[in-house]
Amino acid sequence: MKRILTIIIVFLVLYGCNEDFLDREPTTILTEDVVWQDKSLVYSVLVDLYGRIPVFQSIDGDYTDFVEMNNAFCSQPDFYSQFQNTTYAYDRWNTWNYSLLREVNLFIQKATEADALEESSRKEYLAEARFIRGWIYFDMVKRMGGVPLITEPLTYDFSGDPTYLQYARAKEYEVYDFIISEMDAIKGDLPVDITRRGRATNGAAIALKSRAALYAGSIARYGANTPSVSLSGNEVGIPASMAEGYYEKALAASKELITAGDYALYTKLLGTDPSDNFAKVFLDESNNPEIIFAEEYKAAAGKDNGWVVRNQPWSLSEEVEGGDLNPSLNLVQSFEKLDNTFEKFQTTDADGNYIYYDNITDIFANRDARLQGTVIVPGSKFKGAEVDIFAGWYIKATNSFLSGDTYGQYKLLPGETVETQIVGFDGPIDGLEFTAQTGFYMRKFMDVTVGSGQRGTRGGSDQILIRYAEVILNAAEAAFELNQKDVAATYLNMVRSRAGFTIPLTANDMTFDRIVNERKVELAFEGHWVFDLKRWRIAHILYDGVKSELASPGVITEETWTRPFSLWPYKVHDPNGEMDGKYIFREVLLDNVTNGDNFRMGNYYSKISDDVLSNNPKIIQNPNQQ
Amino acid sequence: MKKIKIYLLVIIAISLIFTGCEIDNYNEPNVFLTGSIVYNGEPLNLSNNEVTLQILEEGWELETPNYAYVNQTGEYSFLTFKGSYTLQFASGQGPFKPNQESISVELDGDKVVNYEVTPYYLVRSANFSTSGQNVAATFEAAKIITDASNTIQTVYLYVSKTSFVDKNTAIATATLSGGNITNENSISLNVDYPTLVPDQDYIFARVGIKISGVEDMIFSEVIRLDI
Repeated sequence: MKRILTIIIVFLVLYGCNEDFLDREPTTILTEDVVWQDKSLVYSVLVDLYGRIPVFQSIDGDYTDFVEMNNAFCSQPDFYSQFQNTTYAYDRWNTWNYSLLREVNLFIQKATEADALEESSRKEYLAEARFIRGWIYFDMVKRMGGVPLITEPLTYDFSGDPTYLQYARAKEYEVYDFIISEMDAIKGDLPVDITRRGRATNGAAIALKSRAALYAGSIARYGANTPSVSLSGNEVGIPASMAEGYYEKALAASKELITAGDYALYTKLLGTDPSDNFAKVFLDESNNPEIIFAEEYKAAAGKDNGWVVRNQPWSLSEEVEGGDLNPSLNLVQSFEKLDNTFEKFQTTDADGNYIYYDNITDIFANRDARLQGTVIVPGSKFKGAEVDIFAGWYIKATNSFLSGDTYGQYKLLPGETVETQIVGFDGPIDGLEFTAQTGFYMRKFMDVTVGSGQRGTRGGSDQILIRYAEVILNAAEAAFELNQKDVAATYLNMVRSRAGFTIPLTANDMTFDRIVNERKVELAFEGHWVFDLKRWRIAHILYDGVKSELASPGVITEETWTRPFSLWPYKVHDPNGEMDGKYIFREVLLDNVTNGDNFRMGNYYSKISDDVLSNNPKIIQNPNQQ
Repeated sequence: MKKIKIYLLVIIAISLIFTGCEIDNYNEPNVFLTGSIVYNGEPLNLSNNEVTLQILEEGWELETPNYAYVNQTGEYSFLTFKGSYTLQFASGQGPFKPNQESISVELDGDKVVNYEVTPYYLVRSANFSTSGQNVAATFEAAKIITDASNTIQTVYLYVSKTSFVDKNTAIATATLSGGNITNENSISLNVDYPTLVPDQDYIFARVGIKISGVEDMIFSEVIRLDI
């Protein structure tokens, strides 16, 4: 027996290898040679890269991105600390995305060599990969300043000396120049197709160029206000003399897209309701001419998002959660009145007496239509049903308030024998999860499909990354900075007329504050605000760490916005009086909002992590870090 | 024989349990490095925990500094191991210019190391007084680095319920922007503070100068005022 075994083993050792036993083609893995011969396989590699591009304020991501600049409060207790901490960490917003960049560079290298592919699709894929690379570099430069510009895949040769892989940081404007020249180079290879929103198109390349040039221009111009935010080698900071040139590029690129006329503002429902129309911009996925580039989601197909699940009004929720993000009064009051003026919501008259409103929505009337397209205000509807937001009863006779501490509580009003609902099912109740603690819920991106609020299905609305309205606002800002105020007014009016404004702005109305506020309200929660504030170099003024009171809307740099405020509606109890059943409003500071945000000079460009610095001695740290 | 083996095993196991932990645990840090940030030997009054001093132990493969936070009377304290360290301020830290790039410290026991710097401004002869619910202050803003272009951006008067007095803890703040200061040798500020809850019969106050282009402020000493 033993001998037979020995013979078998000897036999196997001698002859086993002859049979190509270990050399078989894998059946579950596609090798590189195979992939680069087939158009659709290359496409699937590209799709993977698209799926990993960095997105700030992702609707399926961390809500810290949404609450940290006080445009919203988060009803969920995990986030209360955001309003109690005062300072932004130096490594907040930091990134160092070179692993993804290497894969894109590898893709570009392979695609350049892949002669088995047909020329037209090879060119297009190459252009798309370069668009993705430009997108990643833009994401890095806006967060970190100048980063090493690496355009080929680096490979270590295991020689023990990695210095040839250590690149120094490029100048900040070199990175912007790189993005601009890349977009110029590839736009001709990309199709003009407004239905193709998930992949790079000619329009997306031009729009990214417009955005990058605008950022570079404003850093060059407003960097002068913060001289300490710079490095001597211009890794951070752009010389002021370059501002004009970048603004011209931004204006030219935006104009190129506007005059081409392929894209348009979404106006399908403008005739019926401008607010619904604005909400639909983000939801209509069939022939929506406004969307230039988006991360596509699809419910029940493996790529869905939890936006609706987490933000749906509690009273109408399809799950035992919702109501997370509550837009703040700071944001809500930034929406102008239809006569082009800014005004705080009027809660009291000159003598300090409450103002009585017949209907709960009256206080929001005659405002920018985008307000109710962005925010669910008390008395408005979601999925066809009315939300139930009121904070309690105002007992007029005793000048006191009666409220509850749980959803839709019933109590006895004075002088009555039957209990009445004394607080809305949606709150607002201070410190109670799921209620609209600021008095408002989120409407932007809220998919109204039935089932979108269930954990099992979740929502399928797309994350809009570039849309036409932003390009128009880019044009307006660039024109304003180039002192073409009439041009700026024309562009601003394009966006504003879609928002329901009937009185056009004139060149005389054009101020820096107008440009800032227009971007604040039009592009709220779309990933722009933090980086807009940074490139204008006003974040350290607006978020100076002082516990500020509610600022006046529309005035950008004179007031501070360090804490989010709330607007709470109350029903009036005035039996036999004429005010019975009317509404009053109060400005409230929530108990969980204690400290003011403190944006330090070192927050303009995030801290480069110590391991990056240790690995590469050529990298220098950003200014004003610890 | 078998029995002996088992006893041996038990003894080895027990001795491992009692001694094993000492082998792979580090000692806790036991050396105190303390000191102050001083100008001509006089500690600077700063914002609490906002200025940081980099402390780097050299010779390691990766250079990752530690940070000591400077408190509002200009002192720092750092608990560490014996070794040789480098102390340094990152650029832009503090309302001052360091007098040297870095300080090398050989730590073989507790040590006091003062860091000499030159502030842009100093607060001199600060006087505080209260009347009713009002705090008034007069002080002199002395420019120390006279050749720098940095000017006063704003001066602040902070009132706080505790001895930590800065913008994070203030219950009342008065400000005066640099352009409105007529005489830097005599600046006056006053502020009404709200009713104290719970009631106490003292408050704390100090004044600070924010210098244009510099993030951190320089302060006067914290003063306790009985009311």
